[in-house]
Order: sequence, then structure tokens, then C-alpha cells
Amino acid sequence: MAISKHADTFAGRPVREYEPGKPGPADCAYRLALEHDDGRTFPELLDEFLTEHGGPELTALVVGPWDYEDMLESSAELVEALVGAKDRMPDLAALYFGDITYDECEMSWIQHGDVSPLLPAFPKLDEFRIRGTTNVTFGTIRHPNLRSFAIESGGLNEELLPEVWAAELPRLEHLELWLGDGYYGGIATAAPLAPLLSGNLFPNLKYLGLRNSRIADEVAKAVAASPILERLEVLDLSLGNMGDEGARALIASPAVRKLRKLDLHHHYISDEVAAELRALGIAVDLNDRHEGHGDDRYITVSE
Amino acid sequence: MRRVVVVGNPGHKRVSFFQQALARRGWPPAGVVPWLDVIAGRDRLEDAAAGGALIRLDSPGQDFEVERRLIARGADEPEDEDAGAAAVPADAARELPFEKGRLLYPRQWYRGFRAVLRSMEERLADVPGVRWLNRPADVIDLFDKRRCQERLAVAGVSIPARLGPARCYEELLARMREAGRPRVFVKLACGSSGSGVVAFAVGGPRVLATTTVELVRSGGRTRMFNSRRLRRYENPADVAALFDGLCPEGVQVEEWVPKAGLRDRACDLRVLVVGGSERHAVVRLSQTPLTNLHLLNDRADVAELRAVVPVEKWEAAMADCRRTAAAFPGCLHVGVDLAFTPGFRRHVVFEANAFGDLLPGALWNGLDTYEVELAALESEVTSSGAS
Repeated sequence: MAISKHADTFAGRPVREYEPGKPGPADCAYRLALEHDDGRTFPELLDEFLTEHGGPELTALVVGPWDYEDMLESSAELVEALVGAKDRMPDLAALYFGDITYDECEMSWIQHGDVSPLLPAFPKLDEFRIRGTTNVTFGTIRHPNLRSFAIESGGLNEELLPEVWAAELPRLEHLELWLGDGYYGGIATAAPLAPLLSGNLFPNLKYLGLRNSRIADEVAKAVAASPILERLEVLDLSLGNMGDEGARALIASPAVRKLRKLDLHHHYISDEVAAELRALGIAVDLNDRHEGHGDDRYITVSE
Repeated sequence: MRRVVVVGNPGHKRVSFFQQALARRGWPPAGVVPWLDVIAGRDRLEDAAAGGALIRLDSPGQDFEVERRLIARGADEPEDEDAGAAAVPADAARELPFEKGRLLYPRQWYRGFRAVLRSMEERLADVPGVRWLNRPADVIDLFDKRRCQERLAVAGVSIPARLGPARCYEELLARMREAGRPRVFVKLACGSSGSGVVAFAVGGPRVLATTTVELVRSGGRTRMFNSRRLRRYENPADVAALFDGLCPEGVQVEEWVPKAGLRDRACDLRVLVVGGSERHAVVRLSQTPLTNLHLLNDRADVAELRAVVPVEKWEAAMADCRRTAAAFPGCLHVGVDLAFTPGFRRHVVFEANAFGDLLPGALWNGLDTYEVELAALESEVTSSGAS
């Protein structure tokens, strides 16, 4: 299925749609979105917004849909506009790039492009989240302060993974990858995740999310047997199609019992195995159980 | 107390719910004239209406014999707009085999329904005291989404931009290019609300059609079914077959307006306007772009939506619901489908329904939809001093 609602919160703040002359609560994160058939361009909207809310006070920003045709072509104009305005938001600490619903543009149809200038432009960035991976390149990822990095995808391309593995993010604590569906370009086996699961990357990692996976059982088995698990506080395998096979592998892993939280919501696990998970003695999120076998096991976003 | 005559499918819950509402409000039971009899010309409608009656039209849907007869009735009706629509002779139509969910000759069905409605209105024109609760002439326009939206446009209601007619897939693509709109909704002009609706997006070489229409190919022909499951067609040949099947029947092509979300779903709203005032409202939640499918979707309480919609935006939407109903002045009740755009910045009215009052469980001031309609009639009688 799909994402049908915009983020209510981001970076721990309530999200408010930016409307000229109507400030939201002091702690809110503004969402910049072009209306369908908006007369403005994104750079115009950004300029208007920054005139009102720019400066060191501005620490979080959510970017929603931009021009409806451009979403199908490129996000270059946005990247350029945001980077060009970096001095007007010098303390930006959290950026959500692409809070876009299915209704606005299917996730795999959002055409980004080269987003590599974004991270270097905002040195105080603590959290970066991007939706859509079609045509994305991150280039060389290097950032001294980033603690949270999330890539939402309906099919995360294998070719993008080495860019992530090579990232120099010494403070990274939260890494979230939406793996998606092979039909939309996602990985078909867990093998490409091996460099990450080796445990040699991101020494400060506390949260690992391998979410929205069409091969969730296989991913669970690979993670359950991997050294990285020892270092994690939270393992998030939610939004995918996990069934008993993956769940049993997690139950059998001693390291899973040391987690603070295991998030499996949106799953196909039987009541019997779910009971075993609940008996692990850690917090396990088993909400949103679905019924289905084989190809009928849908993941949250396959589009 | 005046008499009510219901034209409907006897035994359908629409008829029994209405009869129950009559009883609760102390009205005599309605005389029921079956659609099947009206189509066959053996209805004795004049007798039923003699001496004055309120005539309630209800849906002829969900009865295959009625569907066949309406298709048969449409066989020899002149076609003014959709000359390319599939046609079947009257005698063959009467023998059509039942296939669950099959989309059968929707335009010819409409022509038959239109002819039946027109002849009813003509026949009762001279019977004194007859009052149509929803006038046939209005019902005719409400059943063609193009005519309906045209009336709403004239009335100044906020509706999705229309792209003009498309008689085949190539013409649809051309319309989309001309309008610069890569995302559209294509709706069978004369289908019931959820039937034959496709959310269609074009991105470079990719196409994606999301719909409940299921294509079944066998023996060199393609048949279309309304499926309970949402289907996604991405193969260009399938997409072409889908639209080449739908478009000749007459389609409404309009911009795909993104909908605001509620509880992690996209939401839209059915508002029943009775006697000029908005009454019941039902919020429908969906994980798909097709929010008006009753089978697939959940409901939410309208209070939950109102809590997040700015007051002035809500009021603007309700004003458009009233304007929508006012565009059909011969209707006591109109069911209006609308949605807010993300951030609740504005709203658009997608559809208006002549038989939009089947909203089981929905209450307004403790009354169901039918009771509210009767109460509106009671207050008319009281205020005019009659009876």
C-alpha cells in the first residue's frame, strides 16, 4: 500500500504547514509544500518563508511536494534553492526532504537526482531524512554531526548501498533504510547488507532500521546472526512482510534479548510465535498484524 | 400526512430502511413501485400517485434483472454523446448471463435509465399533487458525472479541473499532455460512484493505473469487472486496454487532487444535504487514492476530522455542499462527496449523488438520513399551513 498522510511530528516537534503571516507554535517544524496548481515556485516559497522565519532560530524544516511535474523529473531546483539559502538557516539541525504522500507522488516516482550538496551545506545537521530513492545519488557522504540518517524507499537500489556503507558519519546513532520491493528496484536477497551487518561501520549506532522489506524474513535471519546486533539498542524491522520464519530467527538470537526494543509492527507473524516474542523480556512492537501467504504478503510501501 | 410512493427494488435494504423510518415518524407505509414494473410499463404509477403523493426515487442498482432490462431499454435510444459505446440489441440484453461484478454496457444502461426517468416525469406531469422528492430531470444529470460537474462549475463550486473528453487511450494521453497534468482521475461518466474509476499517472515512459477495474482477457476479447481488490496496472499494454475499454463508454477526466490525511490514511467526506442544509457527514479513510470505495475503506467520526480542520475551511466546504445541492433544485436530498487538500488548505467537490442517502448508522441529532428527510418534509407542511 502506501503512505497517505504527512508527518505529524519531525525531530520531536509538531509539524505545521507554513502559511504566510500565520506563525505556528514556537517549537514547531514548518513544512514547505507547494499546493497542487500553486502559482509559486519552490524557490519563491522558500524565500518567502525565510524572510519570515529564517535565521538562527530556524532549526528544523520539512520539505513537502514541490512542483507536481518536477517531482517526476528532478529535485535539483530544490537542492539548489536550499543550498543557496544556507546562510539564512545556519543552525538547521533537522531536514526532512520529501514528505510526500502517495496521493501527491508515488514514492518510487519521486525523481530526486544528485542530492550530494545538501549535507555539506548544513554543518549543524543532526537529522536527515529523505523519501524516494529513484535516481538519487548521495555522492560522498561526510558529516561531522549527523546522528540520524533515514532513507525511505519503495525499492532501495543496491547501487545506492555502497554510498551509505562508505559514509563518514562518526556520530551516527540512527540509521534507517527502507528496503522496499524488488519489483521497484529493491534488493532481492540480504547479501548486499553484509558490509553493514559486519558491525565494522558506524561505531556509535544504537538504532538500526531495515524497514518496509519485501524480504523481511531473510533480513531478520541475516541480522539475527550478525555482529552488529550486539551494539544496538533498537532493532526496527517494521513495515515489512515478516512472518514466523524471520521471527523465529530473532527469538533464537541471544543478542536480541539484550535489545531495548524490537519493532516489528506491520507483520504476518502467527499468534503462537508472537507470544514467544512477547516472552523475550524486551519491548516488542507487534501492532498491525496482517494475514497472507507468499506473494499476498504486502509491505507498507511498494510502489 | 401525505402518502409516499417509493420507486425502488422491493426487498432492497434501501426500501426497508426507508419504510422503517416512515413508521418511526408515524407516517403510513409507502407504496412500493418496483423498477422492474416501471421499465416494463406495467407499474400503475398514475394510480399510485392519484390524489397527490410524494414520489421517492431510489437506486435501481444491485438487481441484475433490473440492470438487464435497463440495458435493453437503452438499445434503441438515440446516442448523442458517446457514439463509440458498446451496444447490445434489446433482445440479447434481456438474455445477458449474470457475471458477478462485470461492467456491462454502462452507457447503454444510462440511456435506458434516462429514458425510463423521462417517461415517468412526462406521465405524471398532469397528475395533480404529485411531488418528486428528487426530480427525474435532476437524477438524469446526477447520473452523468460530466453533466453533474458542469452544473457544479456553473454554480461556482470548487471542483477538480476537467480535461475534456477522451474517447480512447491515445486521446487521454494527448489531453494530459495538453493540460500539463501527468496525474489524473478517469471516471466512467455513467457508473455508480466507485465503479470504473482509475487513478492514472504518467511519468516519462512509466504509466501506473490504480483501479478496481479488473481486466479479464479470454478468447481474444477483454472484459472488465469491478473487483473488490485494488489493482495496479503498470504494463503499457494493459493500461491501453483498460482505457480503450473505458473511454468509449464516456469518461470524466479530471485532475488528481491530493487529499488530506487523517489517522495515517487519506480521507474524504460524504455530506448529505437535505432541504438545503448539510446534515449527516461520514468520513472515509483509505490507504489508496480511491477513497470512495465502501468495501475497502474504514470510516471515522466526523468530529475527529472537524477537530483538525480550521473552522473557516470547514465552513467554506459546507457552503459548497449547499451550493452543490442547490444546483439540483428539484432534489430534496443530495449526497456530496468532497475532500480537503493536504494541510486542509482548500476543498474540492468530486461528485454529487442522487441516491446518496444510504448511510447506515449515520445520525444527525439522533435521526438517520431517512428520518431527517421526512422531518424536512414535515416542517414544509407545517410552515405552509397545509394539512
